[in-house]
This record gives sequence, structure tokens and C-alpha cells, in this order.
Amino acid sequence: VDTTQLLKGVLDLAVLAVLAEEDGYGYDVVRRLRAAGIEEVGDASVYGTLRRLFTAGNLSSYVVPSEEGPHRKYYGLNAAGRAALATQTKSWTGFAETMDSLLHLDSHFKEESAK
Amino acid sequence: VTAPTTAPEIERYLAAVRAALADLSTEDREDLMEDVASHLADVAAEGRGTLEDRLGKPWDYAAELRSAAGLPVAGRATRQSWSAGLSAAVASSPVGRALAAASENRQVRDFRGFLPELRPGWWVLRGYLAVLLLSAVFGEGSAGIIPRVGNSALLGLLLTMAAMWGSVRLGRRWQAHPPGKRWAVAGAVTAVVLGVFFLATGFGFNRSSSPDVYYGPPPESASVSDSLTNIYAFDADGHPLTGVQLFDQDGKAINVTASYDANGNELHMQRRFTVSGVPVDNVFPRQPADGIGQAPPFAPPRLAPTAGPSPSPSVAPSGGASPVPTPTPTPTPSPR
Repeated sequence: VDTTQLLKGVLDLAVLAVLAEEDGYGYDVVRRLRAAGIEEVGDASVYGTLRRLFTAGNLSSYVVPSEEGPHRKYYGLNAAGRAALATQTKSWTGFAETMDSLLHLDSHFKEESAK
Repeated sequence: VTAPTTAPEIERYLAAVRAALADLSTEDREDLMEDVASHLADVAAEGRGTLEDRLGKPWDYAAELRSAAGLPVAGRATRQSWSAGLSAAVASSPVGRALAAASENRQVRDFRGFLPELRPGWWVLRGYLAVLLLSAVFGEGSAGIIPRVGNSALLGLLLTMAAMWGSVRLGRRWQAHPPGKRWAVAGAVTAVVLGVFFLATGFGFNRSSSPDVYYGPPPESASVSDSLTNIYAFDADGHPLTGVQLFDQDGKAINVTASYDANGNELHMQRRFTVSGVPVDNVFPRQPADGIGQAPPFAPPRLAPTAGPSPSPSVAPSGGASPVPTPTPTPTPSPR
């Protein structure tokens, strides 16, 4: 399975989840996604996703002056963003469960990995 | 290996991304560029490799960015609005309404549905037509239905088959391309074909300028008048004729107006006139302007009599007032 394709569908959810922990600016979000193990996502995809979520009204933003470089634009979840995170988490969990049972992951995979 | 990221590198990358986003609205573009600027600054601050090593080519970066941001894919927005405007204009015109009514017709719909089936046939045909056109442009004609190339029907046949194969291949690949790219390619191909065509016709003009007295010299090519300065006519017994008026099969005058001989010496020739005073340049032999009659500088062979009674040509004497078909002083371009 092409992980990049899978990621496209859940990148919104991943970004929302990262920002739910703590507000962040663009490159900060990129780094935190990578640290969480999402390696394949391109920087530009993350920046584009942030822009789209902001335009859709799911994020609030504010500028923080920076000493070392340009001012940083921080993003955080607003009420709509938190609602979106809840909805998408629900559909993701449902979908993941369906896939798990389709692949018999609960029993089969455990047996396989036990060997 | 760390290559320090320099400010000029960031500027270049920024400019390339901006160019790739040029079709967006100013607001969308500047919003994105603001993010890109801080992104590049952050990446550069890390100091791990060049920007392209880290982020890929600027246009790929721009494509990924706009795609993730949910903005239209490069170029499509403008093209759609342009073609949509055109379609709307056509559809609202009387012709467009008639076409719309016609397309409701079942037979028309069937026919339109049938058109894609014809495509492979058209690909083969256009390959053939391309070689035929090339052959015609170079004045080589065809042997039967096979265009000649390099004066060889075999070469023509081979080239035709190659062109058909190439055309079908092109057609199949063509279908795999998105419409936007198709138009770009079509434009380029049309430009090349037109270029070749004009080059070839220019070449053809030179070829047709050989002294072919049945056609007037092409206006641009003066080579008939360059190489041909005079015409001497003789009867069957080898007697020189004077005041001979020459016309082609359409009654158009065959003019010789050269004013220099082959050695570059200027020729001063008498201008002849019709009785109504119209100057003509198709009376031979041309006489020098000093009035002294010019004898032919050679003698022709005598002709054997033909089987039947051979009518001897009757010719108006020099300065004769024979009726003259309306002379056309303007040379007609050769239709080759």
C-alpha cells in the first residue's frame, strides 16, 4: 500500500490532532508530524493543509514576533476545528476498525507476529 | 554534507514558486507566499542541504502546496474561464442555438457517438496526407496514389508507411495527455509544420524559376528575364521571322523584358506598341534601340517536311497592324 496515498486522506486529521495538543507554526507542525512517525508527507502538503483548514474556518491564527527570524504565524484550533477533529476522529476510528476486522488483524496478525 | 543556504538561493526559490503560482488571484498567491517565505527561512536555518535537496524543485513544491491548499491546479482556472466564455458566446449565438437543436436529433447524436471510432482511420489518413503535401510542396507529384519523394516512388512508399505509423503512435499517445498539454503540443506542431511549409514553398519558387517560357516569370523571380534576353523564330526553311508575337494557351503575352545580357551589358531594346499605343514586350526578336536590325547570331537546322501538306506559318511583318489580343503586361505567377 502506498503510504503517501493513505496520508492524503488523513492529513487533515493528523494536522488537527497535532494542533489540538498545542498551537504551532508551519514548520513546527511539520516537525511534530515527523516526530510522530509521519515521514512521507511533504512540507508543502502540510503548509497547504494549514492554509486550507484556516480558510475553511477550522483554525485561528496569530502572529508571534521572533528574535532570530521573521515573525511566526501560529495556528490553533477554534471551536469549529475542535468539532472537525471530533467528527474526523470518529470516522477514522470506525474506518480503522472496519479495516482491522476485514484483515482479521485482531487474531491473525497476532498469531503471525507471535511465531 | 551541509551546504549553507544563502539568501540569493532563497530569493531564487521564492521567485520560482511565485512564478508557478502566477495564475492565482493576488490575494491567494500573497497568502501562500507569506507561508512559503517563512518556511524557506526555517528550512534554511536548519542548514541541512540546499533548498532543492530538502524540498524538491520549486514548481513541484508549488504544485503540492496549491493542491494541498485546495486551490485549482496550475493553469486550469484561466483556461477554463476562457474556454467557458467562448462556449457561452457560441451557444448563445443563432448558430449555437441551431447546433444545439441539431444535436438533439437522434441521427446527429449517433453520428457524434460514431466519430471516436473513426479516429484510427484519421490517424492513418493524416500520415499519408502529410507525405503527399510534402511531396506536392517540393513539386515532386505522385506515382498513382503514392507520393514521390526524392523522385522515387519506393522512397515515397516507405516514408508514407513511416508517417502513418508515426501518426497512429502520436494519436494514441495524444489521448493519454490532459487536454491542456494537448493544446500546447498542437500549437508547437502547427508552428513547425507551417515553418517547414513556408521554407519549402520558398524553395519551390526557386525551382520553378527555370526559363519556362510557357508561363510568365513569377513576379518575384526575375530569372526568366535574367537568362532569357531574346527569342528568335524561324520558319521551316530556316528563314528568320520578325515581329513574332508570342502568347501562351490562355492568350496571355509571353514577355521578355531583360535589360542586361548574360555578361551584364545593358541592353537597349526597342519597345513595340500596338496600334492603339499599348506597349508590348512579347514581340520577337527584340530589336536593339539604335534601330539597326539584329540578325540572328546563328542558323537553325532545316526541317524535313511532314507527311501531310504542312501549312507554312503566316506571320505579320514587323510593325504590322495585326489584331493583337489584349496583352497582359503583368506577368502571371506560375501555378506550380
